[in-house]
Amino acid sequence: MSIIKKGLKAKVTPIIVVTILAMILFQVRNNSYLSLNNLKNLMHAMSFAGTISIGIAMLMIGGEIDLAAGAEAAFSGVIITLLIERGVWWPLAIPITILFGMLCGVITAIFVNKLNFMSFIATIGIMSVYNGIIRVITQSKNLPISYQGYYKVGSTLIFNAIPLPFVIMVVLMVIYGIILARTNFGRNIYMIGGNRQAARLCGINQKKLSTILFINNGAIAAVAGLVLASRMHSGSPTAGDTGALDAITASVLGGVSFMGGAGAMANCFFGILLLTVFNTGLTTSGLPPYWQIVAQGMLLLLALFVDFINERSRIKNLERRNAA
Amino acid sequence: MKKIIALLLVLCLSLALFACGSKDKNTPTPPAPDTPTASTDTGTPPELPTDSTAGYASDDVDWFARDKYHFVYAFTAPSPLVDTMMNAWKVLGNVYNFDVAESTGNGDAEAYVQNLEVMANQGNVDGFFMDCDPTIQNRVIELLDEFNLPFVCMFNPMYDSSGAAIAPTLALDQYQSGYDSLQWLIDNQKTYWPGDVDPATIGLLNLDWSTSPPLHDRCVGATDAFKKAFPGNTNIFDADGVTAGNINAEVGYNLTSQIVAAHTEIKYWFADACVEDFAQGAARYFETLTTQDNILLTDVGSVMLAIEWDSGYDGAWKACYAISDYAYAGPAALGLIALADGRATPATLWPERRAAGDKATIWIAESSIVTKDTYKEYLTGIDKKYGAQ
Repeated sequence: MSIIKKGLKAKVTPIIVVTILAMILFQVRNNSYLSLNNLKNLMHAMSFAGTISIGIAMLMIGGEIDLAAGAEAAFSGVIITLLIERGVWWPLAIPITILFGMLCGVITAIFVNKLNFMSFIATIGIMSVYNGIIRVITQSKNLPISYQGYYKVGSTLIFNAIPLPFVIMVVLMVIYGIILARTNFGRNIYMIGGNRQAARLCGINQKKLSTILFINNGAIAAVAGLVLASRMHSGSPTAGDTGALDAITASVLGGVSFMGGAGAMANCFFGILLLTVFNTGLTTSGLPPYWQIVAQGMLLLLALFVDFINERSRIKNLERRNAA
Repeated sequence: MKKIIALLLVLCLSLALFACGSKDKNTPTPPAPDTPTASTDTGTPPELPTDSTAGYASDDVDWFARDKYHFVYAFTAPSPLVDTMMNAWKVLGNVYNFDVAESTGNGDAEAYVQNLEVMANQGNVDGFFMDCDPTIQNRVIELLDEFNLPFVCMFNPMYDSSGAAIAPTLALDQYQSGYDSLQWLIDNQKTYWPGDVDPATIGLLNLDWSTSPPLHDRCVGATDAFKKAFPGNTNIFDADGVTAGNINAEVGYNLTSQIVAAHTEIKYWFADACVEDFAQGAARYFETLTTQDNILLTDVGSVMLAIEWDSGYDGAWKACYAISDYAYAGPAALGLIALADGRATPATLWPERRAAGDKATIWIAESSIVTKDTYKEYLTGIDKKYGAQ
């Protein structure tokens, strides 16, 4: 009974309930919505933004943000395309690309932690730089991957039903979920995000932690980008244009606090699931496109409002506990 | 010290404003005519034969007998199309002796006009390739008239209040391109779908970008072709990329998968994409289906499909409406050179291609439906025609 009570009180429960209700509603409107084919599509549609949201959620919980994550993913997709087209064996090209992503994270960390720029502002600038460089390299065209062996990464179906990109996303979420919930490192991330002063007084090196999170985010964005390049058979300069925004929306929707210090990987998963269910359901239900955009915006506002209410109640609980 | 520096800065700013302002006071601004002037000097334009055919690659002109022309491409915001045109002009510039710089407002109309003015003020610009927002066209015409600089419009014609085109333009008939590309699939469906196909099980998927009227017109054309071929068939599904906020292959993939999975009653699909990125994503999705043979995909634009064909692709993406970069860049450059030379005016440039009622010619870019068997020959032919090969 206590497990059920705990489950009902969990932050993620309303999101799960809303997601299930949405799925039922869309199934009523279109009886193919919950077909195996469409569920596969849902998993595919979730995988890019969902993977990016892992790194972003870690950063947000730690009190930072990286708006350049989408651009880093697109850049990584272009890099792996260039590597494979120049004859690099694709199992070797993957770790090289991930290292490249980590390098992007190092660059961001230098601006934020060495030069003390606000991460929000710094990453807007970095995003523009990366987007520009990608377009210079690709001449604004999609670069094709001719080596068909690499297509397997994006198109393999596990048990003939579950897309490999989705499995990669889930595995990474589980790993990072365990890190957040069960390790000192994870606890330090929450402390830094919740109260930077207090964390510093406890001896936690905020800049070192933040640097690790940015490098980690770069690596995860690289994974998202190289998987997408495999799925699309090309590295695209526009692949990540809305990736970061979708990832942030999904994280906030799922309950990761924009203010830092709260959230979990489960929040991320259900956030991206709700966002994808919502967007795909609106398309299949035939809602006119401009009303879809209104609905998407309202969903984000609702998520922010819920985050605001949660944050206020968290602070009130803390004050009550301190008073007691 | 800070006060002295501040004072100096104010003085410099005042001087700069005075210097900029004085040019406007001394140079009277002529009223904006409906037809922009083309001559590069203030003298009387040379008399031209009434059936002038200037502005072609076959013009009897020694391109290198003059100094190199410096043109400017003024576009509203950076895009892949801009890069494509600039690359094409880089090649053609070596053939016809010109170079092209860029000017943009990055989506800001005011900045666009200001930058145009800055470029025109340099004194070494010989003409413009214009791609501007229709809402500021009058200001742009006024500005270029003031500097007596010729221009050719790219993609977006300029019209006067009566609806007549008033400036030479390179454009594509967007509606017709969409219509023709789908019509080709309809005409050739038997090749891919032998046997009897119940028309009630045929559907049309439009991958649209509705906030851009030219791109949207392509889907409108395709829809009309479908409706004409299958009267009474209501299996028409529009997937608008605007809801995803981005033009890329993943959006095309997701939109296509959502619509196709939601309509299992459709056994045979015609799919048309207003841009190549969406078509590429749709093609990727169709490859995952066991029913790919029952799907015929087309789009307007040939760069990506040509690359796919070069890599051995043989899937649902059967054909496309091919437009070589040089089919736009070539005539635009040749037309602007003719205007800058004084061999033509906007009123006399390309008269044989002018629609009735227009004051200047809208040159519809050469295009053709191409398949895996014909694309190389077609695209190479266009490149050779404009001297790019």
